[in-house]
Amino acid sequence: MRDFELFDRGILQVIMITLTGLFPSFTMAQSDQSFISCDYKNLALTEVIKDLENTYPLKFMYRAGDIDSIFVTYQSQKVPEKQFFAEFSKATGITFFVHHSGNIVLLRNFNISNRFPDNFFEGGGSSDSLTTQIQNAIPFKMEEFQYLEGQEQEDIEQQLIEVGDITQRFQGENAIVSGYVTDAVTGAPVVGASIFIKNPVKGVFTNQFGYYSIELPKTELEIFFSSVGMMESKRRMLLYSDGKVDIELRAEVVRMKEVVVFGERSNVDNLKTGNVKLDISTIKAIPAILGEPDVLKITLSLPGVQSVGEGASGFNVRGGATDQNLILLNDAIIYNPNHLFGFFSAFNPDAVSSAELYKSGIQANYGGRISSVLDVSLRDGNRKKFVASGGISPVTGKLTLEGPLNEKISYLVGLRSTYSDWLFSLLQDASLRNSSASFGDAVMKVNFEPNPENKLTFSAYHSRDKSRLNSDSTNRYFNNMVSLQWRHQYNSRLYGLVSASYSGYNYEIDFDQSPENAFDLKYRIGNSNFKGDFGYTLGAKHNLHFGINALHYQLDPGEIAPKSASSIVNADRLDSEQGIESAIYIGDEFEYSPRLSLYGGLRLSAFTLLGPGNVLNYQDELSREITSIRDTTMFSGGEAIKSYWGPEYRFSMRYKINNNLSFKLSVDRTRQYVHQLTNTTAILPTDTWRLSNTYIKPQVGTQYSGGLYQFFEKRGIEVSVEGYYKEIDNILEYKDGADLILNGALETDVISAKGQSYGAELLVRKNKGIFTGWLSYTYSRSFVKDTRKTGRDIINNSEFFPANFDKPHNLSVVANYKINRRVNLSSNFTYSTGRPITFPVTKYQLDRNVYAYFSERNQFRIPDNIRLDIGINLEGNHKVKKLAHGSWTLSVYNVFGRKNAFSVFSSSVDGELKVFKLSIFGNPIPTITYNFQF
Amino acid sequence: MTNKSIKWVVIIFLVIAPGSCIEPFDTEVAGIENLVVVEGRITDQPGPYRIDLSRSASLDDSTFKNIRNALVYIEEENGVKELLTEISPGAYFSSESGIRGQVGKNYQLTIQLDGGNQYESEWVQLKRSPEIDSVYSSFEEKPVDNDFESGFQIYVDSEDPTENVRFYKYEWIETWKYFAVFPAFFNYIGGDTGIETEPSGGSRFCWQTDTSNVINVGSSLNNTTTRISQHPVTFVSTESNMLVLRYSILVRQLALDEAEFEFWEGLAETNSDNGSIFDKQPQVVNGNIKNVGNPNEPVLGFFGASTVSEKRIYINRSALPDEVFLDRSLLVKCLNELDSIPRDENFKANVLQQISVGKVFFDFYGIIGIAGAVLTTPDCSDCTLQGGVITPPDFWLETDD
Repeated sequence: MRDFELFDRGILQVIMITLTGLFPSFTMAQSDQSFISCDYKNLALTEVIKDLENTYPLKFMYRAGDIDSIFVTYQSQKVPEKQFFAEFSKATGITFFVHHSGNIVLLRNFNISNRFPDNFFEGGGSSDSLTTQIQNAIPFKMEEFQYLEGQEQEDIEQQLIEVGDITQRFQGENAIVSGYVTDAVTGAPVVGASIFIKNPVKGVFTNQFGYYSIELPKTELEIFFSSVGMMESKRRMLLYSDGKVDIELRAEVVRMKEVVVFGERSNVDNLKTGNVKLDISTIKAIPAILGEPDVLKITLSLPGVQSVGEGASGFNVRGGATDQNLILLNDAIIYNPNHLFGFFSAFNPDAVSSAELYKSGIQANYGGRISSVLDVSLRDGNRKKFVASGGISPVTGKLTLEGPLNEKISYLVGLRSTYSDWLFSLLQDASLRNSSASFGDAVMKVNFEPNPENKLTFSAYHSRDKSRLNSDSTNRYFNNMVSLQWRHQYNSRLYGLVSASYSGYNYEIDFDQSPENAFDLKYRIGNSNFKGDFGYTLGAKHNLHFGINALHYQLDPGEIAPKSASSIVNADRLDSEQGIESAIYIGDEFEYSPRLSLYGGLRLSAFTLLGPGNVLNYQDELSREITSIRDTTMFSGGEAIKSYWGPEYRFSMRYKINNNLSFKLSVDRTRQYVHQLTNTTAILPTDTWRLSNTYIKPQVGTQYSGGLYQFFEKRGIEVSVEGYYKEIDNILEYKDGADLILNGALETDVISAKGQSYGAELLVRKNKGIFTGWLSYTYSRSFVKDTRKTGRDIINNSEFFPANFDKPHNLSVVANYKINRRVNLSSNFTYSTGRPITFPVTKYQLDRNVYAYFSERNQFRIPDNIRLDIGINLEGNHKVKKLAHGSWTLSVYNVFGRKNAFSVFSSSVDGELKVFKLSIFGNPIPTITYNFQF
Repeated sequence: MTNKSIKWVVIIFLVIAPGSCIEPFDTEVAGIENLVVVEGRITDQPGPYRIDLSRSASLDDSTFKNIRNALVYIEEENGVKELLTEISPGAYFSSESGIRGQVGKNYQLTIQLDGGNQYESEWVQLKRSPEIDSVYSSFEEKPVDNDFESGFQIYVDSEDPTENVRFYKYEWIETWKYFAVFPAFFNYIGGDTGIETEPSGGSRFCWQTDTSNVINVGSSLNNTTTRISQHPVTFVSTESNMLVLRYSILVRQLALDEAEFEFWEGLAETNSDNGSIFDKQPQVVNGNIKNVGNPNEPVLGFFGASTVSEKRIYINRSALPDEVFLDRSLLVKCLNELDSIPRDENFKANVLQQISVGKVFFDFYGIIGIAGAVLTTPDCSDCTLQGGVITPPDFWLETDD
C-alpha cells in the first residue's frame, strides 16, 4: 500500500479505466481469471482493502482522506475480478483505476470520459499488446500520461549509475556533479529547479540555462531533481569523480493551471530573502479582469507589493517608487511594462515562462534600481514539434507559434493585438464615441544550440499603444528590445553568460485641435547593454558569481515641433543626454556548514553623464529658482559633465534551525542613476526618464531584511514571516505645480527627498494537491521627507509624510481548487487600506466661485478596498484526433460588486465645493475567454 | 496639454467597467479655516476699486464670513496711499476721485485687521493688456456630461505688439435676449360672462446677464510670437435659452505677470479634479499676500494690477445652421399647460379657480367674438421669472449694423 500522495505528484503514470455500469465486464492488465469471494458487513473500506490485499495478489493506492469515511456492506462468491470491482464500485461510490504496475487506484468522485474502441473488451490481444490497446483506447492525449516514458523513467530511477572516473575515486572526498535540467517535452531548460540530496541535506538550483553544479561526497547517493510544475525525479549514483548528469523532467501529469509558486521548500533552503518566483501557470490561474492573465497584476497579490489603485500602471515594492523596479525581459530593461495606461501588462502571457521578483536579498549581479528586480523570462520554443496556440477574449486576440527549425534551432513567435475599438463605437457617452485606444505586441525568441556546452539565444520584443481619447490629440508609445545571449559552459566548474542588448522606449503626441496650435511632442530613451556574467564553483563550499555590466544611455528628453506651416507653436527641443553606467561585481555563496550559508557580494557601480550638454549654475545651489540662474557651463561632446560612483554591498545569511525551518538575514545597498519623473498619483506613459546630472543625484537605498521560513512537509505548506527596514536617499519629489515635460531647468522643480519604509510580511502557501494557493498579509509604512530646511514651498514642513502608496494593511488570499481534471476553480480576495490623498482643508470664495485650499500632502485616506474575483477554467475534452485543444475561462471580477473608491476628490459645482467618490469597477465584471492549441 | 487628454482615460475605465460611478461622499476632515481671503485689483480706469475681504470656511459650511472693520490701503510706489471705505460688509472701495492706476507704476495692498494682524501684498506693476485682436465664434459639437451638445464656441485671438505680455486672464459677461412663450397682455379683473380686463404690460422680451466665474488663463509662452490664437473662452449651448433671439458676449482681457498666471492656473488645475489618478496632484496655491508678522500663515487670493481691454460680439439666432433646433422643452411644457375656459355661466368661477392655483391670464379665443379665455402658467407668460429684466442694457444693439 502506498500513500496516494504520490499520484498527485505525478510519479505514477495512471491508465484510467472507470468501472461503471456501462462496462460490466473489463479486462485487467495482469490477471486474466481471478475470482474473488468476500463478505463484508459495514466494515471500514480501509479494513476491506487490507483484507483484499492480504487475501489476493492485489495492491491498492489511494488517498486516505478519500476513503476513510466509507463503510462497505458487500458479499460475493467466486465472482470474476472484473465483475467484483464493477459491483464493488457501485456499492461504494468509489472509482477504480488500474495502474500500469498492476496496482489498483481508488478515486472518489472522479468522472472521466470513458469512450473505448469497440473491440476493446473483446480480449483479442495478448497482455503485451494490451498496453498499446489501452494507449489507443484512452480518450486522452498520450503525452499527457506518458505511460511508457513513465515506465522508463521509473526504471532509470532504480538503476545505479556510475559517475566519473572510477580510478579517481580515492582522490579527495568530494566531486562535482553538473549538468542540464531540461523539459522532456519541449526541450526547454528548467530554470530554478532544485537539485538536492537528503542525507546530508544539501542542494543547489539550476541557473537560467537549466545548468547546475553541486559538490557532493564520493559515495553512493540518491539525488533528487524537482521543479515547479514538474514531476520530481531522482537518480541513484555512485560518485567517483567530477561528472555530468543531464536530466529531463516531465510536466506534471495533470496539466492544469494549478497554482504553483516557487518550489516548495526552496525558500527554506535558499539564501534569498524576499524572493518569489511565479510560474506562468500561476499567473494564468488567477482570475483576470477582461480575461487577460497578467504578469504584473499577479505580483500585487504577493506580500510587500502594492499599487496606487485598480488599473494603475506600475507597482510599489516595499515602499519603493514605481521607477525603482528593474524590469528585465531576457536580460534587457523594459521601461514601460504597461499597455493602455496600466490596464494590461505589456507582456504576452503566452510567451512568458516565468517571472521572478526580488524584494530584498538582491545579489550583486543585479543593479541599477533601488527597490526590486522583476526578471521576466521568455519561454523557449518547443524543440520537438510545431505548436500553434492562442486565445480570444473580449479585448484581445493572441497567437503563438513555436517549433523546431532543425535539431539545433527552435523558435517562438507571439503576437497579441486588441480589437477594442469596437467597444468605443457602442458607447453611450458621446465624448468617447469618436475615441479609440488600441495596443499590440510582438515577441520572438530563437534558440540555437550547436552542442550542450553552447547556447545562443536571440530575442526581440516590440510593443505599441495608440490612443485618441478626446479627438484633439493622439498618443502613441512604443517599447523596443533586442537581445543576444550566449551561454557557454567552460568546464564543470565555470559557466558564463555574455549578452548584448538594446532596449528603448519612446512616445509621440500629435495635437491637432487647430492648424495654428497643432504640434508634435516626442520623447525617447534607449540603452545599449553589455553583460558578462560568470559562475564558478570553488571547492566544496564556495560558489562564486562575478561579472561586468556596461550600459550606454541615449535620451532625447523632449522635442516639440509645429505640425504645419501655419502653426504658431514654438519649436523647442531639450538637449540630448547621454551617459554610461557601468558596474563590476563579485559575490560568493559560502556554505559554512549544512546549517549555515552566507552570501557576500560587492558591486561597484559608476555613472558618468557625458557631453555635449549645458549645466545651469544657480546663485544658491540649494534653493534653485529660474530667477536665480547665474550662468551656464557648456560641455563639449564626450566630456564628462558629472560622475558618480559607489559601492553596493549585498549580504545575506541563512541559518537552518532544522531541516524545515530556517532563519535569514540580508542587507542590500542599491544605487540608481536613472529616474522617472512623475507628479501624478499613478505613472503615465508620458512620464519621462531622465539621467542623473549635476543636480539630480543618484538614488541610494539601503534595506535590512530578515525572516523565518518554515516548511510543513506533510501538508506541503510553506510559511514565511519577513520584516524589513529601508532608507532611500535622493528620491525625487516635486514642487507644487511642477511642469516636468519639456522642462529645461528641471532642477528648479525637483526636490531631493528622503524615503523611509518598514514593514512585516506573512506568507502562507500551499503548492501541491487539489487545493492550492496562498495567503499574504503585509503591514507596511512608507514615508517621504523634503530634505530642504528653508524656503517658501517646503513640503509638509520637512517632516515625513505618507507616500502615495502607503497602504498599511494588505491582505490577499489566492485559492485554487481542482474539481477534476477538466474543471478548476480559482479565486482572489484582496483587502487593503485606502491610499493617502491630499485633501482640501478649507474652502474659500474668489472670483464668484468657491475653491478648495490644500495644504499638507497626503494627510487623508480614501476608504479601504475590498474585492473578490473568481474564475473557472474548463478544459475541452482530450480526444486525440481533433482539430484543436481548447479551453474556456470564465471569470468574474469584483463578485461583491462593491463600489471601491478609486479616488475621493472635491470639485466646484455651481459655486459650491462638493466631495465625490469615484469607483471604477463598481459592478461584477464577467469575462469569457477561449484558448486553443493545435 | 497631456493632462487634458489623460482625463479621458478615467472615462475609458468607466466605459469598460459598466458599474463605475461617481457619487457624493461624506468626509470628516479636521481642517483649518478662517484663513484670510483677499480679492481685488487695480486698473487704469478711474475708481472706485473694490477689495473684498472674507474668511475661508470649513468644507461643510454653507456661508463665508466677511472681514469687517479692517483698514485697507492701496499705495502707489513713491506716490499716494489711499484708505478704502467699507461700503458693505467685507467690501472696501476706494473713492471715485482717489487713487488711479497708471501703466508701469507699482502698487501695493496693505490690510490691517481689527485684531491687529497686518497683511501686505507684494508690489505689483500695472501691466497694459493689449487690444484684443478678435472675438469670434464657431458652431461646434461638444461633449457635455454624457452627450453631445451643439452650440457656439467663443474664441479669442490676441497679440501684444510690444512683446511685453505673455500671460492673460479672460473674464466675460454674457447678455442675451429671449422671450416669454405666452406673454400675458391682460390681467383678469372681473366679470361673470362678460370679461373685464386691464392691459398687463406683459413682459414679452427679457435680457439676462451672466458674469463668468470660471478661471480662464492663457499663455503664449510656447508660441513663436506673443500671439494667442483660437483661445477658447466659453461655450454657448443650444440647450440653453441664450440663442433663442440674440446673444452678446463681452470678453475682458487682463495682462498677468508669471506669478499671477501661475496662481490662477494652479487654482484651476487643483480645482478641476475629476478623480483621475492621472491628474497632477493637488498643490498648495499661495498668492502674493502675506502676514507681515507671520510669513508662514497662508493668505488666499491675489492682488493684481492690469489694464482691461474688452471686445463685444453679438450672435443672432439666424447664425445657427438651419438643421439645428433650439431647446424646445419650455415651449412644449407651456403648450401642455395651457387651459381654455369657455365663456359660459361658470366662466367666472372657473377662471378664478384657475387663478387661485397659480395660473395667469393669457388671451381670449374665438373666431367671431370671444368664445372663452386661455390661461397659462406664470413662467410661460413672464420672461422675468427666468431671471431676466425687461429693459435692455445700455449697450444693447438690436441689429449688427
